Amino acid sequence: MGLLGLLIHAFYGTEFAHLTLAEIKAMPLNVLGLLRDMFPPSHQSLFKIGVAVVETFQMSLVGTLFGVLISLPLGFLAARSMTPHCFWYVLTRLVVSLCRTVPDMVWAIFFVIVVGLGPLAGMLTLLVDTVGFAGRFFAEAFEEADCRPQEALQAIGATRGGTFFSVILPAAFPSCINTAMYSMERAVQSSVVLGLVGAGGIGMLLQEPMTWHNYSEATTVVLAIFVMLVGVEQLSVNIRRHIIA
Amino acid sequence: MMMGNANYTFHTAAPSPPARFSHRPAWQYILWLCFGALLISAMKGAGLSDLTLQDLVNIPSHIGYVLTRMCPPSLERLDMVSRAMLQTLEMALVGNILGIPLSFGLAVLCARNLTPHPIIYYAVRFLVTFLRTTPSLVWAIFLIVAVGLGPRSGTLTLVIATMGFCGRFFAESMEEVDPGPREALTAIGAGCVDAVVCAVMPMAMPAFINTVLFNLEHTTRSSAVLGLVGAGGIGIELLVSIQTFHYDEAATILIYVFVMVLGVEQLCAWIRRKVLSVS
Repeated sequence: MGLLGLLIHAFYGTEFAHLTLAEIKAMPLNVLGLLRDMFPPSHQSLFKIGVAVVETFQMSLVGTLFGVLISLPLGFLAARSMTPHCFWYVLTRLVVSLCRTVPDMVWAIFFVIVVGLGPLAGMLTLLVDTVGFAGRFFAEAFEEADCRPQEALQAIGATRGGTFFSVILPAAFPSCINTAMYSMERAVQSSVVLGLVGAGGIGMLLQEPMTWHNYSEATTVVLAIFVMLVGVEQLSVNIRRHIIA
Repeated sequence: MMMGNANYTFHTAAPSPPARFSHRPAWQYILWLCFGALLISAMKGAGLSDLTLQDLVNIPSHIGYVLTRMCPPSLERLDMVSRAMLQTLEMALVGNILGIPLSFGLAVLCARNLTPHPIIYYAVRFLVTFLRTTPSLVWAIFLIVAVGLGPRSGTLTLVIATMGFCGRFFAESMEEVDPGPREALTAIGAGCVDAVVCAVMPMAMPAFINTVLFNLEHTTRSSAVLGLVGAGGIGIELLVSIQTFHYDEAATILIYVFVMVLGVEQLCAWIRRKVLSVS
């Protein structure tokens, strides 16, 4: 009963319950009008879009790379089996979940305030985003590694670092590569919209035509985004298959 | 002896020796070199080379400044913020409820083993990929033009995000189930729909539940930012408080979002444990 009440309230809260017939009739017309404005896509600023695509890609590549490099020690500290002290475990878990749960647009706004407009803010955002994602999955991968080789090494006097580098890291390597490639995909995906708040990349080009109702150019940008994202997804699938197999 | 190397012939009793470093072909070195060059150019493009020493000194003090302005979080407009928060959660909920049935339909059409025709398979696959890869903020901008500002466009955005995400993973989990029971049902004369509902769906149910819960987390997270472009929810409150330099209010909203997302994550983890351990 309570659940049903919540549901009904939710439909009211999202303004779905008081849709009028006239509004429903108007919607297809709105959409059609929008589509008519959107096609054919304009090709006036193809060069500018190309430059922005490259910038988006660069931002996400560098952000992911540094993010993954930072996530490795964080994952080490946040893995229950590896952490030197319970304090480090709690602290790193907290940092990683803070990076993950605060939405990337919010990080972008924060970094735009701190380092100013431009791709640097976007790069830092993607770095934090990657730490939040990869840090968690690295820690889980390290925890899941088979514990017998670790015990064997520790029994003959290996240090914690030695165990990590010679047993756990090799065991968790495929999973780490997988996570890294996936966070690269995610980074490209979120770097697309970071430009909406001025953090560099192709999103900036989307904001402008939308504000000026220049929908045919917006279509070109959206198509460019689509092609870029599908390309990166395919590339990452291929690299993953190549490295893991 | 695994390795036909003369140096190892007297080691026959030992286990196979570890793999030796072998020379890699030249193109691999060239590939790494290209990758390095790409990386350096990318660092330049990402604005790292514009960083001066002065900037590096300034950044921590900037961060410190913003952080001090954020503390203590202001509680002045807590009721407004709470209402916006509730709306955000409701958007995620309604988006899931409307989106999941639609993604079932799409998933049946684009599962390799259930699709009525290869052309439909490719068309629906393409549609789902398009829905998924176009970022939700982009969808939100277009839907605002189509249905107007407010939570309605945000909810429709989340419906689309759900269709893109669940459509793909529902289809994948239906492709992975054992084909035996479905064939058995078809052999005794069950219709196409009956076979899917009675044989494929029950077997894929744990995977479905997992996907749905993950989608719930995902949509909650994105519903928090949809307001930035005017599609309802808490995002607009956040944007306004930052643009008017009320960082203490922004801090309240951020803490709220953090608690909400973490709460939904915990709830989903709990449901996952509860439901999936039983079945």
